[in-house]
Amino acid sequence: MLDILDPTIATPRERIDYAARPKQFDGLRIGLVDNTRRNAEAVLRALAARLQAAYGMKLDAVVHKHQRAPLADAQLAEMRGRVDFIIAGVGD
Amino acid sequence: MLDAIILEKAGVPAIPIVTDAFDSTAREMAELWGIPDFRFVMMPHPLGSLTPDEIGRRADGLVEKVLALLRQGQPA
Repeated sequence: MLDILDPTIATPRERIDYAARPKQFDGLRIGLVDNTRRNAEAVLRALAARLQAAYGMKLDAVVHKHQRAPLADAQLAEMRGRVDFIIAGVGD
Repeated sequence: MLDAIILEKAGVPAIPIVTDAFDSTAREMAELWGIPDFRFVMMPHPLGSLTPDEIGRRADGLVEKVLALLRQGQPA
């Protein structure tokens, strides 16, 4: 008997209850997830600065993680309740 | 990309930014996690060699894209 492993089997589609979107941008708290690729944090911070200037948003949290590792539970916990949305990146 | 998926599943609106060289990788990641329509913001590649002025210009180009995705959200 021969076992055949098929790596092309599709993943079942998942339904996610996405987080509610903010109704306005003024004063939102920003979180950044920096994947530590070269210049990723610089781009994220420059973007956050522009959002702060335009909408009075506030950069409230920045976490750094290895580019190939997922966000750690402790980092996720750090962000939840502290920020209104997160910008994550940047692949290079 | 995966971080944004994890954050969204945890109830935090997340905007992933990916450089265009990783477009197909990002789409495959979304497909692998069962959400092939997951949206992300794309920016030009590469990033590593940018000067501070160039970083600023890239950030200028991202503002409206990030706000649009923040407003629009992910497809139901």
